[in-house]
Amino acid sequence: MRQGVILLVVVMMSGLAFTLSSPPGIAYPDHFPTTAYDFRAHPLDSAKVQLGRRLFYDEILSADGTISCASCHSPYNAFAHTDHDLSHGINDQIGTRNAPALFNLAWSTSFHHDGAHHSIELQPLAPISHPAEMGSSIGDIVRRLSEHAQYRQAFSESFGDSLVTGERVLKALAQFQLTLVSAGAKYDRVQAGKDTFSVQEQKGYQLFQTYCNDCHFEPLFTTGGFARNGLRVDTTLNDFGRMMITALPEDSLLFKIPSLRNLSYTHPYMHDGRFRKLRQVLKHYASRDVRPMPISANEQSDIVAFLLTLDDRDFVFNRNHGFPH
Amino acid sequence: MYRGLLWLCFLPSLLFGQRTDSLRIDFRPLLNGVALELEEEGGASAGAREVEVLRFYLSELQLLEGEEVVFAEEDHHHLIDAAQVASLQLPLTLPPGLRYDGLRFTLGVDSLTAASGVFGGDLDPTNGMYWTWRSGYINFKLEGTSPDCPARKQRFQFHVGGFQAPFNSERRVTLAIKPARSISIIIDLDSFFAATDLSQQYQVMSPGELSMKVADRLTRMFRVE
Ligand code: HEC
Ligand code: HEC
Repeated sequence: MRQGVILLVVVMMSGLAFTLSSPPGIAYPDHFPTTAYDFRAHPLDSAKVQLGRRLFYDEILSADGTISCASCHSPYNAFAHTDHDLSHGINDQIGTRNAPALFNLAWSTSFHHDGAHHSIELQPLAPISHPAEMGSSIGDIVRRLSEHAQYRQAFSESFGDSLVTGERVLKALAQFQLTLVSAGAKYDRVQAGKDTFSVQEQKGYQLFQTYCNDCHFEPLFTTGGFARNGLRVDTTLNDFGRMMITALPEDSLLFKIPSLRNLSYTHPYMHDGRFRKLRQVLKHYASRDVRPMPISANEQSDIVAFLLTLDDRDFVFNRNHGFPH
Repeated sequence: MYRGLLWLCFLPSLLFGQRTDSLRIDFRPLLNGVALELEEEGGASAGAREVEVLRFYLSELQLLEGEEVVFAEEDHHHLIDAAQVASLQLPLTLPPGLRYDGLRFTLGVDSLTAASGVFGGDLDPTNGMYWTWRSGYINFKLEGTSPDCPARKQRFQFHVGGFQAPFNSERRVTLAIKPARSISIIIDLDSFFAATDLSQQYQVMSPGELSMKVADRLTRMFRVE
């Protein structure tokens, strides 16, 4: 009898522990920190996620029906835009920055290379309104979706009634993007004790911790902050990064520190896509004007070998966030 | 006994046949000393200064008695737009017999709200008061044309916003008022133009030092009639 009571208490407590440790959000491994996004206040909802996925892949969001979010953020490139150094929008217009990969956004506290946006929910207003990206407006999108019977149906499944509003469109897009979790690379299996690094990868890992981890902090491979990594300004673009947002001279040439996961899928690299190969990136760090890093050619190869353990094939080929059918 | 006390409290309001008081705040924009008529055709007509857009957020509305807050509207943002007559009136429902001698509000979206995610209603981004190229609401839009303005088509455009230090543009406005059924608050555009040299300053599109100055100037347009 007494044992029964204890058992019951234990069962109740473990139930509690379970609900506390798995918020109504996304799943991620133990070596990840807790998310920055507050899933308790804004729980994920599968109908909204699916609506957001559909919107993400739909050209209806652009002025002339030719460009979707996925045009610049392709699932097969970990949601970056491979081969284009600068992004392409409607009427073949070329933007001024490289489209970043999209994953682990639930841990991000700022968005865009200069941190222009602090909310994943409001960020889409930028590409939607940009004349060289989707060239539309959130008001026009609300009108177009309201005239679309299938969307009205999807909005009522997600929000309880078929009213399309700006808030709902943006909430749905955010919900889908928050589900893009990349945590299944070889590195993650090693952290979980299920795999081991090769000798070269292990050497690269050690060099990485010496030279790179201050900024590209594991396991997300970014601190989420901004830094100057020694690139010279491209005078055809004159992009001064963070300063363009804060208007503070000390922020000149600071750019958001990107994650280094999935680099095999996301080339070219840097805010302006100036490097096509990881070798060029390593060479840059070893030979830059300010404080070049004393890493030999062999050591550079070791670091590259380690970086490749951050590729997450399962993420890139995951059907759950691919094109909806 | 307690019930008796409660009755006593309600007695005055029962006598006057009402359980709440109301206060209506009317905003009255003035240009050249007369009620603003928005220019809708566009373009500077023969030398006169025209205002085409006057829209702003008002939040954290409070009534004060001395320094004490006696009434506060929680979590409420009003989008006030000279083109939408209904938005120029704010009806408030107050506890009966409330004593107050001051009105305070924030021009703009408070920084806590601005730093959060997406909202609906007056804060829905379809209202055109959210910057798209960066985070943050535009707290105040004032646009029009003026002959002394060197910009294309003689346009001036003030989009004042930004919630991050050091360029936080939300501003508190405090005005002395007396209890009444309604009060009129003048938005004196002339005072803004008197303080602004449109030949030098005619465009604000991002947070910065100029937007901070313009934000200060905008607060000085508000006075009780
Ligand atoms: C024309 C190409 C293009 C389109 C279309 C596009 N984006 Fe982007 N996206 C970019 C570029 C370029 C950046 C980087 C912008 C910057 O730093 O100024 C970016 C940045 C982002 C970021 C920030 C990522 C980070 O970690 O900083 C998110 C999130 C994002 N886009 C989501 C979307 C969504 C959602 C849509 C559809 C509504 C969309 N994008 C449409 C090119 C595009
Ligand atoms: C001082 C901070 C800092 C250090 C240390 C640092 N980086 Fe970076 N790294 C950055 C920043 C900031 C960027 C983005 C620059 C840009 O977009 O122009 C970046 C970009 C990159 C990119 C491009 C990623 C992409 O998706 O475009 C790679 C790859 C990279 N770093 C690798 C490394 C390696 C390897 C090391 C160590 C040898 C290292 N970094 C050390 C700050 C740093």
